[in-house]
Amino acid sequence: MTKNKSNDSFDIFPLSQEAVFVESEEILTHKELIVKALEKVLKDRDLDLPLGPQLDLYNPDRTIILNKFEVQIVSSGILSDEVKIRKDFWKSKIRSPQIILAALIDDDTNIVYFKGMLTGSELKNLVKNENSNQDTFVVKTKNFKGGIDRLLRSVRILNTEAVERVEINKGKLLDFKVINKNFKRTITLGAALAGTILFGPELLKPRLMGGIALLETNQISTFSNSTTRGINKSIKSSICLLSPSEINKDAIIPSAEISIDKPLLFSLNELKEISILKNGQEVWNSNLKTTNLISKPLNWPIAPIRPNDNYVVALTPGKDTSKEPTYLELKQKINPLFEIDSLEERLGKNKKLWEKEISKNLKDNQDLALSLIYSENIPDSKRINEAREKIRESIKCP
Amino acid sequence: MIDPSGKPARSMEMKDAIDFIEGSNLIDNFESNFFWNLSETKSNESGPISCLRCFISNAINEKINVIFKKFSQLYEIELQDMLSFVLNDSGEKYFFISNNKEGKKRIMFSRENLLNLDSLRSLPFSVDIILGFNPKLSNLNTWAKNKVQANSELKSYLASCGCLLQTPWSLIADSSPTRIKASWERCGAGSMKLNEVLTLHSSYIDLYKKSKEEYKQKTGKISGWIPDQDFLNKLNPIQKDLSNLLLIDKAIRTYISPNFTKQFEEGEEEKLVSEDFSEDYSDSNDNLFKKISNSLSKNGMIITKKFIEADKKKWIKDASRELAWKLYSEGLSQREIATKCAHKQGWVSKLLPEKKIAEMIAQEAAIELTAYKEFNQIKNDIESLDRMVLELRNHLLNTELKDGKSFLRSFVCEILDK
Repeated sequence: MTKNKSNDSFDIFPLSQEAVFVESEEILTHKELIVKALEKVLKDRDLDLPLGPQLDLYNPDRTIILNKFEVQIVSSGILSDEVKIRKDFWKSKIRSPQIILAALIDDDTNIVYFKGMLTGSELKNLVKNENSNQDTFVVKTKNFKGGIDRLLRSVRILNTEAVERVEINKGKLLDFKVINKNFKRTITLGAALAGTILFGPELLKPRLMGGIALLETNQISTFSNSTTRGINKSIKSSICLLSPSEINKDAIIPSAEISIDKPLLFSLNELKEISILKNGQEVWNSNLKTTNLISKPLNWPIAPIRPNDNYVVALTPGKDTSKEPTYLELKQKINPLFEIDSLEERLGKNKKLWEKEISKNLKDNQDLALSLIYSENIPDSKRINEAREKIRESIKCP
Repeated sequence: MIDPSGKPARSMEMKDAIDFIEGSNLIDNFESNFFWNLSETKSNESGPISCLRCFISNAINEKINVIFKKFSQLYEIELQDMLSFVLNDSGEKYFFISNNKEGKKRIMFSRENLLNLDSLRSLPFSVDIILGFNPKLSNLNTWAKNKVQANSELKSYLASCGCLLQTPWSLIADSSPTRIKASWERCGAGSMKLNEVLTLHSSYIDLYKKSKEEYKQKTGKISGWIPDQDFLNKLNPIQKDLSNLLLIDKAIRTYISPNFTKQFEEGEEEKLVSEDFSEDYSDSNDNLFKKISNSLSKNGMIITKKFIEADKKKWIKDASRELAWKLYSEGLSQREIATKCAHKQGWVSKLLPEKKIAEMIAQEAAIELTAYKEFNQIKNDIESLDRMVLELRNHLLNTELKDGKSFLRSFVCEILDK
């Protein structure tokens, strides 16, 4: 144990200037204290925002409605490092709050300090790995950002539906599909450009990086019969795929629904061999180019996929001594498929347009976004390099 | 004892205590616990209580002076103001209470009389300390200092000066096991092993809320709760006194204080630093710049003026407030303003809440800007909205105009010049 030899003790701590003093002759419940503090802030700032439910505002078992946003209030001691959030508020997507406001209070002196807020999606992300059977989520107070300002600006400026209600199931890992929906609200290209005029490229950067966190992986496997010394065996080969991403694993041979005519083949496992079969005939094999292990994503190496063509990709894992490939059938989701060459031509050499297109599609079309990120035609961009680096570092097989 | 009316507080003789000591031939035995025992055996006499009141006034004076010396450089705290809340025992042998039937009645400060009172409201703080004292839990000096730490009036006064006086009991209750572990590993002192500390803390948390609730029901007060023998007996492991809990408290304080101080010195929210601002964009967006600039200027003047007008009412009484605004408009830092106005930096930041003003302006501007189609989609994305408002705020506070001032300072300058 490291001992601190200093004799200093710290009798008093700094108190944020944003702390609110509530004057009251009576002893208030925590909810009463917090609501009164909130009302004081609104009055202090001349904000006439509706606050309800008017007849049940102080009920600790209810959320509050601030300017049409449903807010769960959570509280803890003024010097607390953690706050507990009741899970029962988050069981149903229809009834869950949109925002959680953390209030740190000192009930000796009726001081309330609004530490900050989280949206439902932000909370969900924070508690994604929590598997506790307790009836509360435990969140570090430092995760609540922005003080009262963030709450006020959100409820004043955002559209009500911009902060989605999410359901958080106990012990369940992050549901990417729900999170994805949150990011479907895209800024149009014009607005993004206007935003970056004032706010700089930073506006785009986190969206690109944030989108990468949404990428989903798929574990696919196929069984095949193999004969060893005259004995038939079923051998299972597994591959972890990032692209194509929309996989149906239930069939004997897994299939991928594709919407672009030149899908990127991106396995997170090292592969020994990739082979492409068109209408049952092998048309391309990686061994023709190299016999080294394949550790990078492969741009579609042959002519674009045309309607009614049937393609199967055979992927042989690098560490699988059986050398048995995993097969993946490519099924066309739309007809005609999206022509990626035309898009790349349109984007030209303008890296901002590329970044924007990628950011947009990270949420809606993972395969297209990844094809663009690893395209040979993309102009050199620091941000795209960072994105590739982030994918390499952060996306792992489950 | 310490005379509370002195400025600064000074020692004075308490006749009743001296008479008692001389009358009892107690020349050398000046232990506080001894007097406390005497106050029980001679419960109808004032002498033992008077001696305890002397001990307590010294402990209070010492505690307040330590806090003052440590923190008066940072906060606008006054020693006399602090003492007035807790050092209010002038050493009288008698006190008066009003009774509807009998009118005003004179009563002697003896244990017996004090225990028969319904309320201690009009009595000195030292009486509250004596009656709650249990020599098995701690010595009188520590007890008195902990009671000072829990005094709600002192706490309110300090809070109004921008600082928080927190009792050991609420600080322990506010701490998670993670914080306890880190605090004890890095700053803990004493013979307790980490596992013991964590077990003790866990049992403390379970009992604390319930015990405080009972205290609230019983006394009608929230502040002033201190663990009693019953509470300590229910802890795991059972505690014979307060010493282990105080060691945990000290470890937490030592562990978290530098972080808190740093956090508040640096500001709680990160500043956004825009990178390669001029990288890609052309003059064709002048129109947008104008919209942003007009919105910031219009709202900036209105909101800044409200703050100045509200403060103006206090300028007659305190001319340094006007001077502070003026110096701010001239571009001086908070530290420089504090020096020139002969105040602490905390006073300046409370007087000139530039972050709050900037946020309010930025929000109003954002509401206007998001009405334009170019920014309309920001209303659908909280992340973009946060960035927009933070950038507007930084723009107001950090962008330098030709004269080297920020936008906000120039608004102040223009309003003061009118």
